[in-house]
Amino acid sequence: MSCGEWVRLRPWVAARLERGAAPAAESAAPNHLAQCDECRRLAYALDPSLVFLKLREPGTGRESSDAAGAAEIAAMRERVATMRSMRAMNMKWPGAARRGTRALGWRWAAAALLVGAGLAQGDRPAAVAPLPLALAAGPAATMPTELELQPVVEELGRPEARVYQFAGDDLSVVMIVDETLDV
Amino acid sequence: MPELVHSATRQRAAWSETSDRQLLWGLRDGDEAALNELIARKTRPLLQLVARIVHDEEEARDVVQVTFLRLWEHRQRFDDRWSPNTWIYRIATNLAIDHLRSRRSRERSVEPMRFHLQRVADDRSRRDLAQLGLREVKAIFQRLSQGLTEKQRLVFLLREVEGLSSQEVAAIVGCRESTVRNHLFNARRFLRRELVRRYPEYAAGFRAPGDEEAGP
Repeated sequence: MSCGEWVRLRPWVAARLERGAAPAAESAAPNHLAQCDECRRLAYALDPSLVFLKLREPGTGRESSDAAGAAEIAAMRERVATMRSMRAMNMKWPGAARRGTRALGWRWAAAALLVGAGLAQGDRPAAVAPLPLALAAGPAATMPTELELQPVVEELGRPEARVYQFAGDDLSVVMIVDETLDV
Repeated sequence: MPELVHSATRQRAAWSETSDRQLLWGLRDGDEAALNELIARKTRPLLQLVARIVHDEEEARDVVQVTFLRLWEHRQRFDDRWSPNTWIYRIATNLAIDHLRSRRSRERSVEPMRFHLQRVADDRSRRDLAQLGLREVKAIFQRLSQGLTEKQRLVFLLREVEGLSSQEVAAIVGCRESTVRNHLFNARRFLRRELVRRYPEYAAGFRAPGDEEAGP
């Protein structure tokens, strides 16, 4: 044995066998092991799992030249671009249409609740705080006093979803209720 | 003289000289050239890491592809307090583990036959661990690491193979540094023990204290 590095490497290898050992300064150790046959044999005799440090060496995951690497990168750009386009299409087509309908429905539901709150305001005692001006002067002021509530008028391909319509003379509010929606 | 207001070539060249962090800032601003540069820089290291987790290069490409897509779609969520690699590796490793879990449930029925075929295909002509080629090491790791828990394998790969610090690994995996050290110790011990048990020809003469304990 002639490699002088082993004296410094040995404690590092031994520390790997101890539970809870503080991480040793090791930047140089794997590099030396990769180059020195003698130290590698000694180290492996103490800890055979060190052989997996070889996985660090470049080209292990994929044996590829720079040209192949460039091709891989180009292919990956292509794949990502394609997937982004497909996502964009989905935003416009069936799946997204459903999502859009849901979003619209929830917006309508929120609007309906606000309008409903505005209507209910009229029946409340004066002690209750008035609605904000924007709401009080908005659609609620022009809503008819009698609302017609139609029970299920449409389904959205989901048995749980129900669509209600509050039909008025000047304003029609649609409310979609789906308790299973994850929003 | 017309003024050049946009040049993709010039933009690519500019991004190639920036740090990963600046690249993620560019990504956050919705710059597609930054995404392209990120793909150029991270495709190979991510493919290597993910391939080691999912044990399949084609599936690794799928996972890395989705990783870049996630990086793009969630670009606003990048937190400056994180190192760029931590952010990117965290997304990639989470996706890889999700992929592995879904694949495992599909493959359970064919696994015994595949394992048998792998064993039959083993090249046992080389007897010296120190002389093992990269391909053999990779194959052995692929086989033995299947006995590790997900966290153990992930910690082992990030710390031992990728060479990341315990602090970085803790941030990626989402646990404390002491837990990282614990996972690493258990992973090494399991691999050491299994290497000796299943490949005794490679580890003749090995003796280490505490390796008689069972379990990964």
